[in-house]
Amino acid sequence: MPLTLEIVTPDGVAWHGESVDSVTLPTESGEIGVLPGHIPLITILRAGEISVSANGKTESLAIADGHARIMGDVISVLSEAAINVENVNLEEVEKEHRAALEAMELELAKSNIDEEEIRRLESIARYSIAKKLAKTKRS
Amino acid sequence: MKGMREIRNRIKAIKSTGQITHAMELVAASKMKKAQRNAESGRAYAALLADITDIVSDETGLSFNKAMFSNPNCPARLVIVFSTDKGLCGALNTNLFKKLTSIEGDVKFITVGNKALRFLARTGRETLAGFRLGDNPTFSETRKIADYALKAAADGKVGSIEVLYSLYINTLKQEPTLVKLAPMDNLDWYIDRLKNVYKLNKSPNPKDNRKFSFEPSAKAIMDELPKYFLRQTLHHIALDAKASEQSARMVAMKGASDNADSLVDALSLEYNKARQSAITTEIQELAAASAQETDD
Repeated sequence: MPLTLEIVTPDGVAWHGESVDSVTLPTESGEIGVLPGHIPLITILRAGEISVSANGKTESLAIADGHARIMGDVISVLSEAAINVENVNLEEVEKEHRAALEAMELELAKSNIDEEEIRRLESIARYSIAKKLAKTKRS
Repeated sequence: MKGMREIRNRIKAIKSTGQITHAMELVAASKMKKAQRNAESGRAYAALLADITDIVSDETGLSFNKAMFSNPNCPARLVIVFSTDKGLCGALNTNLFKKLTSIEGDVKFITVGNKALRFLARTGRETLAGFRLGDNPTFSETRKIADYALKAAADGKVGSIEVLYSLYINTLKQEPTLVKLAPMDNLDWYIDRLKNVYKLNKSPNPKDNRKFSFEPSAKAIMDELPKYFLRQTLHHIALDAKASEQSARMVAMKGASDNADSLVDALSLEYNKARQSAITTEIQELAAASAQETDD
């Protein structure tokens, strides 16, 4: 039985597909590959690349930090953001990355540092790195 | 029949009120579209997050909640009420407060929006804090509310965190909803509710009887997920409440403008009748006067 994969972000369902052969997820402790019949699993995801292979083709998506649930051959990925690598524009990503780093420096210079804000900016920076890496790997 | 001047003044007054409500309707309509879009796009995410949290909660049992509450047996409940800042939005707040008064026992409140704050003060209920949100709530705004609630739980002041808000169903329908977000032992009906209302994929979760495993560890997920769930869900709820507010206001203002229009029509008819009868009387009087003159 093939896998079903759905990637959901606060902006809606970013990717949905049935009859997927295998999926690679970027977790906190390294990449894991998921094939049909995988044990039920809940995992924390790190910003990185999800590669989906279906019908002999491989598609690549960059995601931000999130969670994933694998249950009965259905993989549900919950992430702050997701984008198909084909739609990644390297220049924009570069800008985004720099803006996040600059905002982080500003925040760190403040007297009362908001830890959550730092964490949020860090995850934006990680997401942009993930997009860059996934893109350059393809091209 | 009323005097013509009186009717004319009323028409004038109603017309200018109608102009105002019409302008407010247009403003609300444009805000509504944005608020609805914001709320709708986050629905799938909110439902799936609740689903995952529910599974983790089921699998790990009560230990899941210990991280959040320093005094889990505390009888006090914390209810976060999402109301509007301004009125003129039909029965939205009234319905919400009706539900609110049905909550009994030892309850502490956190309010969002002025209306709830004033209502609670008027009815003498205990309010811990009052927040306000702009038209487009940002995550950093809603996070403050979540963090306040988490702090109250960590300090052992309360034994549960609940939310009362207007669930946005569609432009014409909003429903006051009370949901317990923590401890997370009863999320099932809320998940069903969300899936039903949002018309999401209704197929039940895939069956899998094998035991769940957790990466990197159950503890790591339990440390992080409850807070994440609470923050994200509160954000989603804030967006939902805003969509409800703008929709209710748009509908209320549209009703008011329509009423104003029909009132103006009715009054114009009355005015014209009054004018005509005044003219008729005048002609009759003239005719009578000239008849008298020829008689002389």
